[in-house]
Amino acid sequence: MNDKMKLFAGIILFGSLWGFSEVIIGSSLSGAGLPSGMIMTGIFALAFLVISRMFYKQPGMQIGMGLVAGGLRMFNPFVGCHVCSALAIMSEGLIFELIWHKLSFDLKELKTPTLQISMGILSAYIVYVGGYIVTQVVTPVVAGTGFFVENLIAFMPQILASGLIPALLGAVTLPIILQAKRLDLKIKDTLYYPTAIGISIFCWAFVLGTWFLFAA
Amino acid sequence: MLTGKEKIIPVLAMTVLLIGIVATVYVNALENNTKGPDNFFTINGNKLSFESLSETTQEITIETDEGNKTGLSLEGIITESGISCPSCYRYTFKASDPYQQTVSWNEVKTGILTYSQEYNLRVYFPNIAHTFWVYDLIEIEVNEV
Repeated sequence: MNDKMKLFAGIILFGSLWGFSEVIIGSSLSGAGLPSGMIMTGIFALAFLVISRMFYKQPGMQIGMGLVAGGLRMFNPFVGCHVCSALAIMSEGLIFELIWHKLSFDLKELKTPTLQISMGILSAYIVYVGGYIVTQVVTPVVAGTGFFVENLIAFMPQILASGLIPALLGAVTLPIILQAKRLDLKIKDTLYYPTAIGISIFCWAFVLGTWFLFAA
Repeated sequence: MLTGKEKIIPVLAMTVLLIGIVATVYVNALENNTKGPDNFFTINGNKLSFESLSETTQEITIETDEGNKTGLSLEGIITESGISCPSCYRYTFKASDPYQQTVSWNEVKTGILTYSQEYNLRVYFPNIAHTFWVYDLIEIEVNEV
């Protein structure tokens, strides 16, 4: 029970942090004319997903995080396709989980820099391209216009090309994040729950507050 | 001694990098070979310009979640292009890159076509996701439902 509560709090915490960064940092990057989706996946999403897997070592956690982060992304007060981005984030959590489920939770397979860089490339590329494809398929269905496969096929080269930058970012991000494995973080329950709940509330309050201010 | 996973991870990483590089080269080659965007587009093979349509098509303002947008009524453009039964077709909006999205007459009726330096020809629809707001439009393909 205690472990389940800890995991649940962790899903809310890391999902909220991921969603918060997508909305606030992602929108700022986009406003500066940078490829925000690519940077967010190659650095922030990958970092949150790997850190949470490293410290909690629980299957299914990243799927939950994606749902929380995608939910928060729906309230982005800034311009953009909210439905597409939310769907992309939700699917990114699921795709990450699928790619990593064959790896051990202590990540002993990723002991050499070559393997860490390779896994960074592989994860970021597949997560980004997979998320992109999912939005192209699901958004028209959600919008009620219907999905037409020829539209996806026509744009497939662009989608496959767009994964290159996240892949290169992932090659740098993952080896850096894996350095955190050396940290032996232990936090008392009396501190863990208030911190997790406090940070999560801050993320949601900030995004919802900004949404009410700008969009509502 | 390397395990199966330790062997396959670098191979898969190289493969996705190769796919990304080849796709990037292909996309760039395609862009260089595509005629630069201007204010012309085609409907059913007929070439039309935004300027000429501006003189004959009604300008309307629609409300979107990004504020009000003003442009030429897509309903007017489709009707003027000579399509006798607009509701009998679905419409694919094609960009130069070549992004494309398909919508029904119900959506087309609510949409507008705009021209700007930033997006060239762009369609907006008030009630569906931004993913349908195709820009750098070069063609509206008309297909039977």
